[in-house]
Amino acid sequence: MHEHTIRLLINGIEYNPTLTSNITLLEYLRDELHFTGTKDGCKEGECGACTVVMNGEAVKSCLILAVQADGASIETVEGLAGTDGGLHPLQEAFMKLGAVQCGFCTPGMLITAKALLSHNASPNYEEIKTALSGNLCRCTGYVKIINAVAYAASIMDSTR
Amino acid sequence: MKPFDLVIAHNLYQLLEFIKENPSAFLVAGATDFIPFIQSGRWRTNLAIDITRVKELHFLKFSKSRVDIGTLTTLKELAISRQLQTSLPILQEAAASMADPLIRTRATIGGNLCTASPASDCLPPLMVLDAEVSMISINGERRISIRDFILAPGKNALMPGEILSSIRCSVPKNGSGMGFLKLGLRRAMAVAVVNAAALVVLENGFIQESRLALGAVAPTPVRCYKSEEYMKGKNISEADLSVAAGLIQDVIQPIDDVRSSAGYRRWSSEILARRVLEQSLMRAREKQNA
Repeated sequence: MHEHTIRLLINGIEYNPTLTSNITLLEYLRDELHFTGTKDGCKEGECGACTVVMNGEAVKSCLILAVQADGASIETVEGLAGTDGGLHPLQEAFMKLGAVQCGFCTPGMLITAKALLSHNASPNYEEIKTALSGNLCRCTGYVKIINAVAYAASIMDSTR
Repeated sequence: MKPFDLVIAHNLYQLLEFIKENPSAFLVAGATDFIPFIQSGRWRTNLAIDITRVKELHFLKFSKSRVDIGTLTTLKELAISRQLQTSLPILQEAAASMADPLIRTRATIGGNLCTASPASDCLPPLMVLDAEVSMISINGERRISIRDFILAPGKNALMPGEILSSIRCSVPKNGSGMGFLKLGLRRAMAVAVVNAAALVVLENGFIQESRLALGAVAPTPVRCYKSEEYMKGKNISEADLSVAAGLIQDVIQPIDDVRSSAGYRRWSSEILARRVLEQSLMRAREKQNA
């Protein structure tokens, strides 16, 4: 009862760790797998730097016990770029539109945006703002981040 | 996080048997309160049971006269439900105002009720709707009013061996309108400074019934019966909503805390009370004219 062996699909690769119940998904990703792209900003679900996609939905990984994610498919920021190294349109957009300053919130923003666009291919500004309302940024003032998401949406939409 | 044993429940019977044998086990669903509170030491446990896979507890059912909400229904499911927006808009609006979309994907209504925060956004709507909660154990079911379920800050009416299984709301009759408002320090990820919900039922230009509930201004969310009494039976044009709102002052006991002061809460709750009554009346008249 203290330890569980679980199955996780992370960025398309299967893992079968044995974990104690008091480890969050965030801790597992960073400390065990060294996927340090996902950030630990607050440990209490207030900042969104820990956002990952789980079973198609953006969630805060610091608020999930790793054991609860048994059987889930997880996408982290490490999985955004293509296997050929080509950047995801969201990553291109963030760079092009100056939506990155210190970069700490960026993985969370990218992942939340990716999840948004997978459900809503052409969100308006209000929808982008609502979708990102769980991700804090202390540097940019959000405007360029929202613009970048809208821009990425338009690129991705036009290549459909 | 301090270590604890965790068991995974796969069905309702297994869950009820387990908590009968282990009444002190903590039920974990979305974990959006559980993890922060265990980490901060506010909650302590050696044993927890994950109930997210108990499908019998996860439903959102609509009939002509009522809505039945399983305890595992997520805030997101409530927030995006068009049917809920039509039949119980204040509950849909409250759910949509909570936390943020990432947390709403995981957090459950049952968890919110069982945490029993005085500032819960779902509670004033449920109180105004006179919701009933069902608590079950291996021995059977108990049903009580939502008002009797929330006992004190952080304290609910569950007995050892019981779980909150569902919430039932009657759909208000024709001629009704409802309103919900939340005042927070920002538009997302904000615990309410004050929240308010109201319902009015109109008939032939008269207020047949009126209900008003306020949250974050007392140890538990409160119904404002004096305001309700004042409104009842009055012609719409006679009902002075400022007077109705003023009558909340006897019932609220706001405090100073990290988010706000007692004085500000006392002042702003009266304004929110008036506004949700206005909203309710306006929506009731819109429906009548429709």
